[in-house]
Amino acid sequence: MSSSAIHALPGGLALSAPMDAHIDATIHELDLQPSYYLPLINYSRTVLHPEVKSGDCVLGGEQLAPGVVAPTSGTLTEIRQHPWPHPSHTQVPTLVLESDGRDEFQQFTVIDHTQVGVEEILNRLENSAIHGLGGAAFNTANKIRRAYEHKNLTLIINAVECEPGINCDDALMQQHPSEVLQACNAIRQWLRLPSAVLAIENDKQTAITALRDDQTPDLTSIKITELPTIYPSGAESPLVQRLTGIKLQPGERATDAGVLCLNVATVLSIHDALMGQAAVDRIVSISTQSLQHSMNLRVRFGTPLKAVIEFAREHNTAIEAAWRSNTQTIRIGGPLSGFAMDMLNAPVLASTNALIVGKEHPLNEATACIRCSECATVCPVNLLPQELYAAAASEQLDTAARYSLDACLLCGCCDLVCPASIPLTPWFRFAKDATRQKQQSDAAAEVARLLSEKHSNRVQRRAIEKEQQEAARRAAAAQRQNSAQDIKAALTRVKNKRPGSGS
Amino acid sequence: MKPTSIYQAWQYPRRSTASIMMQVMLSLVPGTVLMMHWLGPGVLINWVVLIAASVLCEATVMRLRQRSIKTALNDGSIVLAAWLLALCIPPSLPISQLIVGAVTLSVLGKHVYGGLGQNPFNPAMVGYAVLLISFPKTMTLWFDPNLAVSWTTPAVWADWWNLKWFANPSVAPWDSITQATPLDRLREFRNQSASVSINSLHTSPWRELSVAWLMGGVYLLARGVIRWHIPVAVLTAAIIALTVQSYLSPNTTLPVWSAMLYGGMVFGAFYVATDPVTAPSSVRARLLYGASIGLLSVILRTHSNYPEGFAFAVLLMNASVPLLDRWFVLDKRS
Repeated sequence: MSSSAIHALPGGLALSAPMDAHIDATIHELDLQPSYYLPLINYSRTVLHPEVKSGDCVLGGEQLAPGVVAPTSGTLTEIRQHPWPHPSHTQVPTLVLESDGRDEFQQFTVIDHTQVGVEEILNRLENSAIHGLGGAAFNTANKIRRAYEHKNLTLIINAVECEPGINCDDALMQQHPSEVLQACNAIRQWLRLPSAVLAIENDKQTAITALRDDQTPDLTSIKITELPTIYPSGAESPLVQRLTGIKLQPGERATDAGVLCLNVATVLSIHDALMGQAAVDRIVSISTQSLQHSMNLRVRFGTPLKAVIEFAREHNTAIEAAWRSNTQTIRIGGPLSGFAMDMLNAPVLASTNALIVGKEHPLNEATACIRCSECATVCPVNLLPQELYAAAASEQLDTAARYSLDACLLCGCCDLVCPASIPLTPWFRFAKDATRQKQQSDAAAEVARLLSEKHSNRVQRRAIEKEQQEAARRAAAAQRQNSAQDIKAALTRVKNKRPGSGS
Repeated sequence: MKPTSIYQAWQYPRRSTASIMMQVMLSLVPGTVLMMHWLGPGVLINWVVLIAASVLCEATVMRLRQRSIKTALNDGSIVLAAWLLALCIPPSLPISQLIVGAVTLSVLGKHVYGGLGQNPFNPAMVGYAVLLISFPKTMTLWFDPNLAVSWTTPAVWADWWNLKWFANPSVAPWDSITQATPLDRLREFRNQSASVSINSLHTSPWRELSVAWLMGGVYLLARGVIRWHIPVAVLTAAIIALTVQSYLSPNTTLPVWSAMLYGGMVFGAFYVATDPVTAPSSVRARLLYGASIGLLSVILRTHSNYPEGFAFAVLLMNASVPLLDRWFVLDKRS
């Protein structure tokens, strides 16, 4: 695909990592940890019900709750409140898995996609707890299920990785180009598509060369498309817009428009799951605050952040120096889309794509919004952040919804340009969270209302039934009485007759 | 958890509110200097007194509101608003009236609504409208540039002193030193149903000043401080309205280009209508807002009691901004 086929993004910022950045693309392996922490909550903050109980011995890859699998073999010691990597800095019910050191895995069969139906494949993905590794951690099986029904499906493999400081996908493609392409091709064949697009930003020339060099003739159906470096091209709706020209409406997902976007690392874990291997880890980028130094580490889900950082400090002097300069706070995610975290016993999850270590620059104190519209100019999805901010800061969630809060990617472009230094994205994240909570409590209230309605209906029905039964009983009694009187009368008549007739 | 303040990992060269205001003020400098040169020391006195009084008033109000005075003054917004008002008023306006203007601008224009970013009406135009309605006589007196300009003779400075403090022209009676602005003359012509002769209008320095404001506006557009939608909409709508008018009544109207340059149309299009606080936020709403201002100001110019209608057009459209914002919520997406 030529670059002319790439549609322009309505906003976004041309950001790139420092020119002289030292990015270590080797993928380091983290040793087995003594314990793993698996939050019983999913990306939409629904609490999950465990299918195991404390004291159970489990194997690696075994499902512990819907969407949660054991990262290694060991014993479940307890379920307790534990921090999780979320900007709310809250604690959630978490399974604690004590590793037994044997690291044994459950055996799964290899699924041949030409032999089995789609449901079986999706079930495997469901049971292997495959989640998107791009940052949002959507349930991959659900995503594919929604897309699968489309006749003209487009498959986009998202290797854009547009945020500076995140280079886990870059490292993956540099280190394992043929595995990546084979996995992409397998998914393409399974979905019965003639071709797929692998989108990558043009500042990753090493990875692009590695992929192109590896393209064996039968893999030409994966088209490598280079995108100009504009943040946030890698987010789903901007990516769909840039590659296909389709503008997603607020609330619309790419799958609704017949486009399936899968992160490149997710594609590999789908492939692993189908090949019978448990997909229980991800690559995490760890960078210094200046983004000058960066390294990559394969980490199992549930590993405490502390262990990851300790490893990085031992193996990278720049990260060690940055850590020392710091206030014990790290940033989870990229420099723009991420959030600060000080609870370092929180675990790594599917969404934990990067960590940033080092002292952050405090922003100037926020001043009044003068509605200058810089934010609207850079917004990649054409929102009006100044209006959204006014709505979010006054907690008018309905107004925020009218301004399409739903479509906000939380990319952070508006934060970066705001002349008044207003923390716009944190406000939007807050408003999104509040909206979700309100929806959940509304739904709960609706359930309660329905239940109470059912209850009062039942009570009423019972009363009516009781009334009817009573009436029937009374009628029957009356009838009985009547018939008893009849009999009595008849007997009397007979009695009275008898002497007469006898005479 | 509500966000309080944020730390940002990524450093990005961001513009500050103060730097935006500075850019606007910078672009005003050439026009202001020319205005002082052509219309005399009165303009300088207006400029100094209005800015000083407004800053003082702003500081007092912030003190009373128990807010940071430093933050309020650092952003430069009050200086800019006072500066804009100083460019709209006649050089002869007495100092007492200037102070009324400054207090109106700061208190009624901004702080009764909650300060910077909260005011629905353009503060400079609120100040202007209050002055125009309260002091119609002094607000419509403009000196003959040929007589009033003297920067070197002490005697003339003394006259300015008398004039500005005591509203008392000691040199000559008002009639001999003042002069109607082109739009004033135009109104007189129209009221007498006489045909307009362009040579009888004193076009200098109004035309030259408009060119200066235009160049300042182009600078702001080039620096990305303002966006093109509002000024282009204002000017386009005004040109169309004036063209229609000149066809309908060719005798009592000026040629379109002259009419555009003699009043405050260019200044208003680039410096008043573009005030982001009081303008709508979405692009389509901005186009409609700008076009309405252009149209309304031509209508008011022709049919109202005032020779120029820009301030009232802006204030009227300011009042409709909440409605426009409601109508055009999602313009770019759909």
